[in-house]
Amino acid sequence: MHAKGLSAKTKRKMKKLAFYIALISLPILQFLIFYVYVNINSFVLAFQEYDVFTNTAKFAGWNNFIKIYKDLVETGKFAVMLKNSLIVWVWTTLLGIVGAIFFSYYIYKKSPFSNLFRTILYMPHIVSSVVLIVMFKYFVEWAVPSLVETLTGKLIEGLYSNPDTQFVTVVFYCLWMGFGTQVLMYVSAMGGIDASISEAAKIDGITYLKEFWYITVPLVFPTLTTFILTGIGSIFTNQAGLYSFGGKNVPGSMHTFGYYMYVELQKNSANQTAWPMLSALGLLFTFVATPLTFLARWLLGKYGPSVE
Amino acid sequence: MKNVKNKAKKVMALSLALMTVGATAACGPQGEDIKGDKTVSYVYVVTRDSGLGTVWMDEMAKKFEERYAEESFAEGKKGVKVIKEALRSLTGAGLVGTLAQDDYDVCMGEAVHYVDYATNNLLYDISDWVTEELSDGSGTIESKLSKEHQEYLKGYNGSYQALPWFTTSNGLTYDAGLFDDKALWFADANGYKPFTTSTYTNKAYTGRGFVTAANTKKSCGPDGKYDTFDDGLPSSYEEFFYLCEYMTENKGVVPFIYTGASEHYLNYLFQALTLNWSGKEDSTTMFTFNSGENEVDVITGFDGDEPIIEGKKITKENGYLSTQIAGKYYATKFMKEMFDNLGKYFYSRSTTGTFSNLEAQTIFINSALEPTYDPIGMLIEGAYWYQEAADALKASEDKYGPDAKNRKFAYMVMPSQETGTVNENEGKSVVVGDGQASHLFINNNIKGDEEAESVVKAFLQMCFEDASLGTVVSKTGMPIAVNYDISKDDYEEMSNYSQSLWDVYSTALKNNSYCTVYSGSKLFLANFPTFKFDTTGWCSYKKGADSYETVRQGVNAGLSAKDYFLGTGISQDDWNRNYGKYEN
Repeated sequence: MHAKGLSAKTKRKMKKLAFYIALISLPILQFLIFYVYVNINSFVLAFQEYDVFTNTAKFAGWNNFIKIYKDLVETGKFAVMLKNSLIVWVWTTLLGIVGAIFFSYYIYKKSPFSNLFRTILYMPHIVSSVVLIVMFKYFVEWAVPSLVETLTGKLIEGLYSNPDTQFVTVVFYCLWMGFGTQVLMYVSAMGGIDASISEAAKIDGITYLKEFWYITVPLVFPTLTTFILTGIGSIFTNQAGLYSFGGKNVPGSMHTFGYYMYVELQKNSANQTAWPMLSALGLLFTFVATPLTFLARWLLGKYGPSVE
Repeated sequence: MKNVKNKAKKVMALSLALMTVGATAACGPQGEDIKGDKTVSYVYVVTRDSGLGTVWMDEMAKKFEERYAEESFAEGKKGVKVIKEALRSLTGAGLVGTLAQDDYDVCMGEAVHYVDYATNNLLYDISDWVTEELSDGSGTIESKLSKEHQEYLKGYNGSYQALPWFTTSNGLTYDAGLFDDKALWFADANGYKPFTTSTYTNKAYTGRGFVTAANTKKSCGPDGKYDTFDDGLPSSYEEFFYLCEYMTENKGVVPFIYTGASEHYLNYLFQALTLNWSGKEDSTTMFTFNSGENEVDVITGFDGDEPIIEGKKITKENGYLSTQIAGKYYATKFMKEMFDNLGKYFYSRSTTGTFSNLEAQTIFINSALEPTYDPIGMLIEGAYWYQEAADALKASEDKYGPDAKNRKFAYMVMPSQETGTVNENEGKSVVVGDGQASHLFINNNIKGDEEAESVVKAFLQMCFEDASLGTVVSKTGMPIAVNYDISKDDYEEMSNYSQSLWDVYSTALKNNSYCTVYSGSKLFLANFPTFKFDTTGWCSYKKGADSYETVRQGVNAGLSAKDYFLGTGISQDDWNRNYGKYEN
């Protein structure tokens, strides 16, 4: 009855609104449940302890943070995880970016075999990461020792089995795996550079390297910034494929923060008594990662290359 | 026309929605309609898809359908049908998130701690079924459970919500046929002693010598009794490593093989060594934290590298001492000796991270038959390996003929003393425990459904009748972790290896040396991941930032047996801080 009085324009608007609400309600609901609720719950959990027999949680004050200090900091585990996480981050994010950007430039400039390199680098990404790690493990555990034996007659341990080369092997794997994605992104970003800029620079006599430094890098810098900023968060979440390499019991000297969190949750997936401490640890990571990310963003904005 | 189109769209959308809902609601495994026949009653059984296999489920399903073919569990229905499915996810808490929505009635999972499910109200209370007399007159299910099992299963809230199923006595499997061929048994008297010095003690050898002919009388073995399954086996660590030397130096036999891809399997051997050294009473305190009036041999310190062993009564207050029982130290020392000789005692590919359990089994099976291989004496594995290796055993039979049929593989009883030898009536009964935590439980979804309750009850009770237990053991080769005996026919139907497992299990039951690796302690129940008798945790090294899953990793990192052992314990401070709040 009321609708009869509405103008055609209003009706159209209402229909559009209804469509918009229908479209957006599900993602908003998902965001509210799986982000807002989960994070609030995780925050609350960090200050609680759980009683398995009464199935209830009660306020625990700072106990979970004290437990983190006693179990992780005092024992030195935290320092080892920090060191390993930073090593993985430096190699895969910082040095990885440097290598990937040079390589991308090589491909972008259509240098010899650039398409072949692009295919070789990106090929692993169409295979499941678990399958890829299994293949990689076979390579370092079987192929490398066999090759060494054939060449030298000496029987050596697999690179992953040997404690002296175990971590290096894992870091190399992370670097190799991260490379393909980065190269793809940078090449795409470089492909968007206006060809006339490059041509004008060439007329002015710019060299191959100078073009890279003064034109290409500044123009793809926003993409680079994205990788660096998301990489900071990964210091606390990247498990470096360790679970796929060694399951739940990788030697402690190789643990990263991401691996520790993942494995503890795996081991205690139904043991709710362990969850509060893990929530507290997650909260601590957030407190460190957030300002670090903002600081990095400010630094990159202030000191990064300018397009002008 | 437009109106007709809109209506057609609506009808189409509704039909599609109904089809989706219908398909989701009525589909079971492989999309089939699981309860399509309305004239019979159903029970939906799922089992863990693993080395333990599905044979038990198939056998029980067959028996159940035959027995109740003419019975009615609901008006208008006659007979029963068992829906069977093997699930990879039925391990640990794998079904916690989904069980409430699942149609499964009876579940058999591995590494299951029933409390994980009970706290989420997912388990049906089976107390009445467990305490009711079984139809075969063999007593109640409860009467077949050990005291420790009863306490564990009722520990959460006083009711039964799960039952034990398979028990896996893990450790070493040896090729008894190879021991015959190569005369690797210890002789009762005047045996052949190829070396004068023991590599284990670096002193003059004090054990027995080896048999020199097939008819030489064998030693009484670790149990100190003749004509039992452990005759001729090493009865001390010194004899064990003397045998390893004999194998490698004189007989061209490689002592061990294991899977490097599953490094933690090495701890199956750690389990067997600890249990046999410490015995049932001492080992039990690792789970009860209460030794009553008994004193437990614990290591309270070291004088140099020599352990100081003291008898201590274990209570909740000093429960941390149960993580330092003497058996763990000697298990560590034994395994360190093995890995100090890695290149000599192990099949060369064992430590490779991609060398799988199935490859290790296949090579172990074929090594004694294939002329180009060096024969391998012992396999470090879970007791279930023989079922897992069914295809490899069949392929071996196809290739090598009758010699490869029903091979003489057997469970190796581990010694419980360091040096010398065990003489008659001086030994100890074999101690075994369950390293797999396989349990049966019932989905709480059946609650209030009278038909489902009565069918599931009949199925579960049938499984625990003596004849059913006998069938499961004979068909799978794996004992069930309750008290019962099997018929002669069932025993004779089993393979040599399965008979060996049954011999060990039934002997342990008879001699009260079966260690139920659970307890009703609140501390244990609430901290199961820390104290479970698994292949990690209790037997792994953790100190500061370092952690090693196995003694092999510890040896690689340069740790001594003493260092590794100390790293497997819990300090008094940590005990008080983390577990002080729990009742025992």
